[in-house]
Amino acid sequence: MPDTADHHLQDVLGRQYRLILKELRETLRDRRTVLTLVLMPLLVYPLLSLGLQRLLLTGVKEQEEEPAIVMVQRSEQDELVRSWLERGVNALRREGLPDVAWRLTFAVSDRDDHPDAVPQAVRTGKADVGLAAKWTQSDRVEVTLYYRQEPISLAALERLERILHAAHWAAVRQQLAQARIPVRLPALEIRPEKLQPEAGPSPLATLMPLVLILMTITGAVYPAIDLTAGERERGTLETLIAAPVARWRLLVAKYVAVLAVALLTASVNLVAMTVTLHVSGLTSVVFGPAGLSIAVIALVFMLLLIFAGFFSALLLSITSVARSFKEAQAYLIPLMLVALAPGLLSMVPGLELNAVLAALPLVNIVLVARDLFQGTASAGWVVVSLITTLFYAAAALSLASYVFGSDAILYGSALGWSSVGRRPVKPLPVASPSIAWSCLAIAFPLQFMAAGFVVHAALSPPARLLAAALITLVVFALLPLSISWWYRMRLGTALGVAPVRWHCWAVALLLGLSLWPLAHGCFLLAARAGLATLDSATLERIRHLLIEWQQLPTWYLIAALGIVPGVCEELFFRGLVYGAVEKRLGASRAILLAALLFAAFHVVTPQWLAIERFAPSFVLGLVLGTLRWQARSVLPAMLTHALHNSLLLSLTPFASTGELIGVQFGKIPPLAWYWYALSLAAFAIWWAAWRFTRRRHAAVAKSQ
Amino acid sequence: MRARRRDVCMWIVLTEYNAFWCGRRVAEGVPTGCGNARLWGVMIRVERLTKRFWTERGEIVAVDGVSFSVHAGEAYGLLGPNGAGKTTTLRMILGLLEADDGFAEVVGYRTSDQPLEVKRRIGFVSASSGTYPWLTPREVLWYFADLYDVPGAVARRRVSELIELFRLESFVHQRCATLSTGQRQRVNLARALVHDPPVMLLDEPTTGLDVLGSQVIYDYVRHVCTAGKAVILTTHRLDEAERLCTRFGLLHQGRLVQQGTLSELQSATGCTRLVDMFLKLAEVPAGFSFGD
Repeated sequence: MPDTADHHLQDVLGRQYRLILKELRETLRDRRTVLTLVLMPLLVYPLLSLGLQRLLLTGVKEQEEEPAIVMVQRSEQDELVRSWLERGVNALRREGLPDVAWRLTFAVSDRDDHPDAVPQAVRTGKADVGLAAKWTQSDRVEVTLYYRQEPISLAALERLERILHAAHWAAVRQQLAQARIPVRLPALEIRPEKLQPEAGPSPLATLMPLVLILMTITGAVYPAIDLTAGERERGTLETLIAAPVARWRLLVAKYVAVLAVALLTASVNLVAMTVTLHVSGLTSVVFGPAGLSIAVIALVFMLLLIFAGFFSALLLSITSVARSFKEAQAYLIPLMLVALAPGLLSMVPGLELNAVLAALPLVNIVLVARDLFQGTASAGWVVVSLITTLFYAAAALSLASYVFGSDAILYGSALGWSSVGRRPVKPLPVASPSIAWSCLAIAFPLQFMAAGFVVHAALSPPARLLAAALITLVVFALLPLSISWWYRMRLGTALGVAPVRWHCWAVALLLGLSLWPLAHGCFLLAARAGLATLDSATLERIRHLLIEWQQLPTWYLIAALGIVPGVCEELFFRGLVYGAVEKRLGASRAILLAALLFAAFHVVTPQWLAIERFAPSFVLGLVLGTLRWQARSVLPAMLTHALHNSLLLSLTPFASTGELIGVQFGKIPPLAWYWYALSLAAFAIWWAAWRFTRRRHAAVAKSQ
Repeated sequence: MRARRRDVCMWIVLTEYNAFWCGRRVAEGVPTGCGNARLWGVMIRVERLTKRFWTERGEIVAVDGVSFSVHAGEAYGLLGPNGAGKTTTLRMILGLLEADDGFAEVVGYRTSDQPLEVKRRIGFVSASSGTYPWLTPREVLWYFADLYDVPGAVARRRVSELIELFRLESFVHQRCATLSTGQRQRVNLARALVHDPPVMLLDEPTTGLDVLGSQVIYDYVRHVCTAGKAVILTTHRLDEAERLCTRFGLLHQGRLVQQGTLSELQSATGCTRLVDMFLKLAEVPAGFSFGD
């Protein structure tokens, strides 16, 4: 059997590959695609760089080559001022500072009668700095310096100030020497030490996300419209939908084609940009003194991949709704404007990723891109943003496959939108994978954001626990239940809420009581393998949490963190998700997928990335999934899950906090051997019970 | 002469494939035959098929309790004026639209229960069917072979057979965008046969074609019927239907007002021509005709 299954898989993959090939062929043969692909970047970047060069380089050069003009107010003490300035310059020269740095051209104002002449010259740009000196008494000079808020003016101002100070100190030193007054001054030696600037945040790095967005959009828009709305316009959509192929397979083929073209465009853009920058000598201006290294290019390409992956799905979900090119373009213009907003957001200084921003589509990737360019990215936020983006892309794609070729789109002019969003008349036996994906895409950010709010809100510990339980209830129970209601699914088949025989309950009880040593062992192994990210701050947070929990009644803890999550999470992962994919993927793959998603939900928390939770959650998910498959019901898995959670929580009041969290996580002692033996014995009983009941089932079936 | 003989051979090959489908149907225990001496039983069965649309002006019943069946080797003409519900009926049989009531069965499979199995057994050609402008006819045929899960070796043979049969050789490597309307229609007809379906649905296939193009369609329908396929053809051109179909269903405002062979209809209505029958049944004032 597995041989034919493999054969079948190979067949399906080969066919899918050919479907993709057709979409690519169709797109790449279209001259309009090639035009945006190759010609646009070849024209745009040289033009852009010309503009940039004029803007940036001319400014820099002016500053370096043209000496700044200092205008001195004409007065009776002209000579005095000039000698002062000369003395200052000479003093600085004696200190060995480079003369070039002090390039200033001194000029004297034409008219001395007008008091506003010098400031006016500075305002209009005739001079960069103005100087007006007034001797009020014999020993007091008032010097006014006029400047503009411009680099050249500011630089000249600073130099002039140093010259004046140097002149002043030179005069003081001279008078002290002449008067031979014994003054004890601490020996002060100032040694300016020149340092190489580090490759810090480059001035234009914040602009890069915006450029990336534009780069991917230009490539993906045309094929996305052509492969979806274009199908209907050409009259090929009906024949395509009349073929016995699942819509999602068509959409996946189209998605890969759009993604490929988007990446191709982006690569051509990247090459054109790099070459243009190199040729025009702007590389260091844009990317800082370190220039454009291979690492930076790889980084840019990785970001492009994520951008393009997300954008292609988004574009397809929008263009699938459209019934013509014109309509698709009308829908896409708002998207472009919306997409530019997060690009601009990346330029807002001081805006940092947090739980809410990391769950916002597009904004999260833009901010991650900015942080990566500036070298300030934190791994946790990068992973959270990537995972949420992955979910959003999958949701967009499943939406696209739901809408693409639906009768409203196929025969839109006759039906309008009446059939989209109307509750189906016929009951659905189980949730389709696209429904399950959409649920996941809603659940993940919802849970993440809500948990983020709860963490940061000023709530008392019991209220916080209550809020957490409510979130779990809404996300993991209310969501699948309302979806089942909408699609008129039967709870028994769709969510697996079906009665079971007593021995299933017995096995569930046994496993619920004996799983914890296994979870502990997994945790230990993961920690040994270096898969624990607990730093001291996180440990401190956990310690606080535990102290908080210890002051609460145990039943409250067990209800909020044991029973509610146990029941609700099972309804979601082993009920809805498992049910949606069981028929399609087969039981073992469905168990694996549900366990992986279950673990992913546990790893990403709004405060930190709890990688150490992955291994225990994954193994727990496998056990619960197997139980779901064997019992053909989710109820025993609920019991096991709730019992397992509650058992761990009921230890909280008895254990000292230090002991419970193991103070240094790397050095948690393993449990005594008999605990593991107990766990293994429970597994053996489970296995034997399964073998026995299955054989009896088979015998009963045979006798019938 | 040689070409003619070759054509016949091709059709024998195609007929054999068709026998495979029907043989399978018998094995599945679907009742065959309908009391008459037809070779293979009911291929398409439509029972009380109903479709309602909701518009701003309220509910419209586009197809109202239509029932009929089509046998293998038979061309069934679904006739009626524009808006009678012909195309909607075809779309419901194919599973592109969901029926509000009743059901359609194709070779024993219900559209509502096993949509993919139904689609696998239907070849569909519509007047509004387009082609992919950037693909060549050969690539189009291969693409549809993949869409219909035709195994590689079979697909290779079938594609070359169809290219010969529809005389596509001269432009088989040209992009479809450069083809004439008639050539494109031939590509579409070939495309609908690439998976050798036992049932063909032709939705106003001659619309927009000249005399020569229409002749290709006539030959096509005859060939397909000879090969033992069941055909439903919708049209509002009654002269065309008379030439092509063996049985007729007259649709008016979503209702099947009369059905049978031409002679059955003639004795039931007392009219000799389809046009007159239609005018009488629909009680349309004299002087008005459908199509031209």
